[in-house]
Amino acid sequence: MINQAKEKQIGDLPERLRLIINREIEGGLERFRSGDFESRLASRLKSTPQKAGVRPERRWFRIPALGAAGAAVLALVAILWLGVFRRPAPPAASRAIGLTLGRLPGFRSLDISVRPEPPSSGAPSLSTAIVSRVLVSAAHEASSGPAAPGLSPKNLVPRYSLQQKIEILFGHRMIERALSTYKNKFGEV
Amino acid sequence: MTASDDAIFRRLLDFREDVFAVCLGMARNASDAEDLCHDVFLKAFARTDGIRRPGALRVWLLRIARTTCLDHHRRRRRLSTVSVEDLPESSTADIRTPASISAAAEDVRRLKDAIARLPRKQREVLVLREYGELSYEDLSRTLNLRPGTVMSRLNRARLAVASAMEESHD
Repeated sequence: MINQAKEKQIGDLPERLRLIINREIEGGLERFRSGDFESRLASRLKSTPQKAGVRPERRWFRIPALGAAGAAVLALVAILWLGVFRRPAPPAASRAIGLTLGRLPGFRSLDISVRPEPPSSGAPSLSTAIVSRVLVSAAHEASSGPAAPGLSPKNLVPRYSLQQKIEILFGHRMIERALSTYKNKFGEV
Repeated sequence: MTASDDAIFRRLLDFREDVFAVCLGMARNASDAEDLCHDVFLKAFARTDGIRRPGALRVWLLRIARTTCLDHHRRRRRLSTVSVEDLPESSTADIRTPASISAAAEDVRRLKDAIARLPRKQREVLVLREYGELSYEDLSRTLNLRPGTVMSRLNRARLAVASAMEESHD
């Protein structure tokens, strides 16, 4: 009822036009009925290679547009993420520690005669002993040799804030990597 | 063809004249409409597993008819550049009364000319309504549009056709 009322509101097709359409449909239907539509359709159904009920096979080049669009969006997001959120170059702190480590004598040249004390005594572990050994050796080398700026025990390890230390230890993991190098040799890291 | 296939085939064929009428509204002439009608039934028969509501079989078929006709138009536009004036020419052959052939054929020619000039969205809603006699609810479901949109498009289409017919009559 509502739709009929609305139809009246929006206006019907003029009667003359409706008559023309009806005349066209009637003429077309007469011709349609006179033809043998059903049997021709049946023969086309039989002759068509696409069997009824079977969907046409998907071809490889008909990749769904959504999939392609999704891949493009993912690639764009990855590019943006790398460009915007990528960590900047190592800060000055890691450059400093790299410089310091570079100045240290090689591990192979050290006299590794330190034996770890039993852990029950609460003494530092082997890795701690190696680090202290390295520092002492470097300090000794610095004091006995020609003046090497910045190699005094005081300056060997720059002072870092807790955040910087965490970043170096867990972010850049330089110390961990250095100790991992000798993992097999000492059996402990 | 199994017995079940045959039953579906029969049920689909019950609506062949409705499908033909919609194809006629979209096509240049009855001959093209019949070819399109064949295509519609071939497609429909291949997609019978997509029938969810057997009660809405007619609407489902007319939806296939709509997409088939639109595809046909697109293909034809790609393949040739037939002018709109050429489209309804052969439809005059469908009016078979010798006495009234000139006037009736001219009316049909002008009507099809006016429909062919409509924008696609208006044309499809007009044809489905006037040739397919779909209700507003069915139109809304078939075209996936709100009823208000269907009505406004239909109104614009009717006005445009009436105006074009008046102009060509003058």
